[in-house]
Amino acid sequence: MRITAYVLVADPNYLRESLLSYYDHVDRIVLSYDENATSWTGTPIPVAECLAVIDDLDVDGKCERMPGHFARLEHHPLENETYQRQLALDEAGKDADWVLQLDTDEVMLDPPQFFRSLERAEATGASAMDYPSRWLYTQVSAGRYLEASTRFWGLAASYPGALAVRKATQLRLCRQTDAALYRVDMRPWNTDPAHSHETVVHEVIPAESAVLHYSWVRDHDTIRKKFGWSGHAEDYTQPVNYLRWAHRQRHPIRTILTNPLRRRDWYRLVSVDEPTGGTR
Amino acid sequence: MTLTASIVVVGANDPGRLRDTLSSLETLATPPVETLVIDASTGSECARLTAEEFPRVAVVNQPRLGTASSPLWLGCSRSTADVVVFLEAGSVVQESSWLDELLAPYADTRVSGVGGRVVPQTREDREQDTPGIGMFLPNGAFTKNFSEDPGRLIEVDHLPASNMSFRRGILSALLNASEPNHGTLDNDAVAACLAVRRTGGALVFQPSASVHYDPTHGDNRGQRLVDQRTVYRRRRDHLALLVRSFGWRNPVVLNYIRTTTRDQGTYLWLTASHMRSHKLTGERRSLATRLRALWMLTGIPAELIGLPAGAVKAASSTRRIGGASPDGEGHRELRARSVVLSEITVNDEQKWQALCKVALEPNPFLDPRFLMSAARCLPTTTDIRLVIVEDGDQWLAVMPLSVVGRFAGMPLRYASTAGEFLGKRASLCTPLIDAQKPDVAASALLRHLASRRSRLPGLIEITLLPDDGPVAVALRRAGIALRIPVQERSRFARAYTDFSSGVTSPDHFSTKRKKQFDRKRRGLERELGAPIEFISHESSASALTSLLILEAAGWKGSRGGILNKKGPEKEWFLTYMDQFIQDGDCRIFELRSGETTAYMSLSLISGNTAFGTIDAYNEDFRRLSPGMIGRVLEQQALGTDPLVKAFDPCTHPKYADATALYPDSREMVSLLLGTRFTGRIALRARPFLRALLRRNDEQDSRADHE
Repeated sequence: MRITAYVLVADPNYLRESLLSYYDHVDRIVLSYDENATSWTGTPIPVAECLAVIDDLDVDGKCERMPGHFARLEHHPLENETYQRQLALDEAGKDADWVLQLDTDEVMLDPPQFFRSLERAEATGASAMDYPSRWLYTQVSAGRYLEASTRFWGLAASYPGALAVRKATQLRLCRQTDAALYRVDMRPWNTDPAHSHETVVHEVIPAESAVLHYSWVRDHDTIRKKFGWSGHAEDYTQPVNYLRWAHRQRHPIRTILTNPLRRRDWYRLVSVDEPTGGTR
Repeated sequence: MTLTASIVVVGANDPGRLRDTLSSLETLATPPVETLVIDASTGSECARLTAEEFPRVAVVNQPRLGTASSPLWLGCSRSTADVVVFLEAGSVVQESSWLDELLAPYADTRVSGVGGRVVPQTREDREQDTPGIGMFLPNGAFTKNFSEDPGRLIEVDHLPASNMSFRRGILSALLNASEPNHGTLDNDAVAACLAVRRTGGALVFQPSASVHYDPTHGDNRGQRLVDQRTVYRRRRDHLALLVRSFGWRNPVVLNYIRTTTRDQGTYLWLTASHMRSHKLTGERRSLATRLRALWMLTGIPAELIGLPAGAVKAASSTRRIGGASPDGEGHRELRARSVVLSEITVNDEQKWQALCKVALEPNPFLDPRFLMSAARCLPTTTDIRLVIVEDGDQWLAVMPLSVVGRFAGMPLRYASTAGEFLGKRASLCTPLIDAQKPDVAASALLRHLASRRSRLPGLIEITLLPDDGPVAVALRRAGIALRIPVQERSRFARAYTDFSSGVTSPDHFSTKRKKQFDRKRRGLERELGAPIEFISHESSASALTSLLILEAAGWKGSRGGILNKKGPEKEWFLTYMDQFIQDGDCRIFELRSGETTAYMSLSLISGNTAFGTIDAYNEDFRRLSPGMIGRVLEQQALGTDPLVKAFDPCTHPKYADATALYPDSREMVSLLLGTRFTGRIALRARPFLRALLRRNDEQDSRADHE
């Protein structure tokens, strides 16, 4: 089974850890970025810094640059994201059976398990694999993070979209697709509060084998920039999001204790081995 | 190599549907070796139709009850080809290459079963199922979706009962090792598939081998209305299937129970939504319609009651198909059964004898030559049930059990390895267990004893078992793994000689005793007038006769020596000894001086151990202890035998002088196993009750004293 990957080059945070976690398992990595270092919303993004990091780690010459024009301001940012991903996916899928589509702040904790699940997905005839991500909201101290959870502090997976798809898959929105999914979860039942409890689970893996998504784990300055260049910029740039984030970072215990009182945004405090990179 | 195929048409109860299926089979490019119809109808229409219109097709009547009522079992046992293909009556083959497509994946030797697409006649009949084709989910559910076309060959966990095939050899072995009847054809198929997967075989779905199937034609299959009885049965059968396939402790069983319980929220949600005054379209609901919605809630008890009913159903016929062994040694398909000795066939005896040669611990008293001779001669063996664990044609374990009464302080009947016959005649009751697979065999043995199929009480006693031996270790380990309480009932130390220890009698004697031994030996030589000789007769029939005559002449003879026994007992002894002598599996020693015999002994050889059976001495020389001298020399002679590593004189410790002649000893224990519910409860309560009784007795004696 030939596996390639594509990454959208925009954010240097955790980029090294993310790429290195699967670098040895893929044959080729397509680097997709805007040729003018501009985000989908028109804000500047540190593409050069990212490419420098990638050049440093690409010892086998697997990474291929694919610049393009993706800052199409006449389109919705999410449409731009889908467009960029589809082009990158088509390019990466040219000589592959499966294409990984991980963001640069998503780190595989257990790559062998990920690729075992992918082999099983292939054997069962699936065209895409949903693999659980543990979504980290913020870092509260060294090695301590607020992680998205259920209302009562249970394990919660997050599925931003298929993390691996067969070549020539058509993306519906961002990483989501209508292709036949092979779904991996951390429990025999769906643990993602965003999905119905009837959502089928084909394989169970330990929480330690999930993908760690350092989604909002940034310093104050970077998180504000990220809100600006994100595909969800329209929502994220609302001041309340940043204020809540900053408040919860300062008061993690209060945040987790008040979980049952909130209708959404539930967290639990977890310890995670400190990555070698990061911004803090 | 080209594989041949037999096609078995199952579920034939409607001549119209059967005709459709058989007609479509006549168009095949590669015809099958044979076509069988499993006639499930109550009348004779299907048989008549087959005889008149399809004379080359054989009809097999499907019994209503028992193992043979399973169409899978029937089809597999009656077919002769390499691959047996199952088609449900009503399935219509569309392409002439269907059979070729179905057989093609068997080119891969890993493939044990292949299924094809089952396409409903109309689009509306297509299953609305969870994603995934033929998958077994971690929550215990199965996906079907066999109408979908993945576009390539894929691996699945189970196959569609309407269009599936297996390698006949593999299916036959699995069905022989398991109870094939799981209530419905679908469940039978799933159980067989799960068993195949556990043996490491691959099941594949071949989309190009498709059949059309009309689920609504002729019977009510595929009916959309699902009543409470149906959901109850579905839950019951599903849970029973999981338990019987994976065992009670597999997490998937608990996952299924939890999933079922969680799913009940759907009924609440549906009822609540149907009781709202207005539909989503804004249309008003009448009060009667809203109240009728309450009926939906009856689905909750129907489903939840299905779970304990499934547990009861599984418990009543628990027979795990394979399953993990305590040591995690793969998944093997083992078969266990209990039979009375009279039902043992000549073929069985050969397998039994083969097991004796590779047994973890030797035991000549469980040798078929010993036991089967007794079964043919003595009526006291009729109560012995032989518990056998088999792996295909190979026996992995044998344990004889006899149901005996109750013992003091135990209200339950129990079965013991030392019944009326073995209790008197066997000095060792160690079960025979294959040395290569001790844990798998011990586990299967205990699992069988825990099932009702063993027809033995729930309390088992394994007595005269060497405590430090590997069999006791394996049994204890299996007991822990299966949560079967194992308690020690009694223990004693018995004389033993381990030749590997380097100490042979009389080296371990005290100086005083050694001097006494030498003095008596010299005295015997003086008395006999010549130096004494210790002769090994190996396996000699004439030497045995001399031994029996010597025994009959002494005190042992007057207390029941072999020659003085009644006809059947004497016949049994001579029969089994004749076999041991012919096989060279005994050693007869003689202590003599000139023409005078002072002592003779007989030992049976099993594995690498000699077991003392009979000895006798000349009572004319009683004063000089020829028995003691003979037993010491017997050990020295056996120590030089390259085939013998240890000697068990089978001497009860109450004979203290005789016991002291042997340098080593080993602990013999009697273990009690609570294999079933009552036995477990009784065993767990036993220590507390004994402590209570002891305390009560102490108080009584104290009161009497005061």
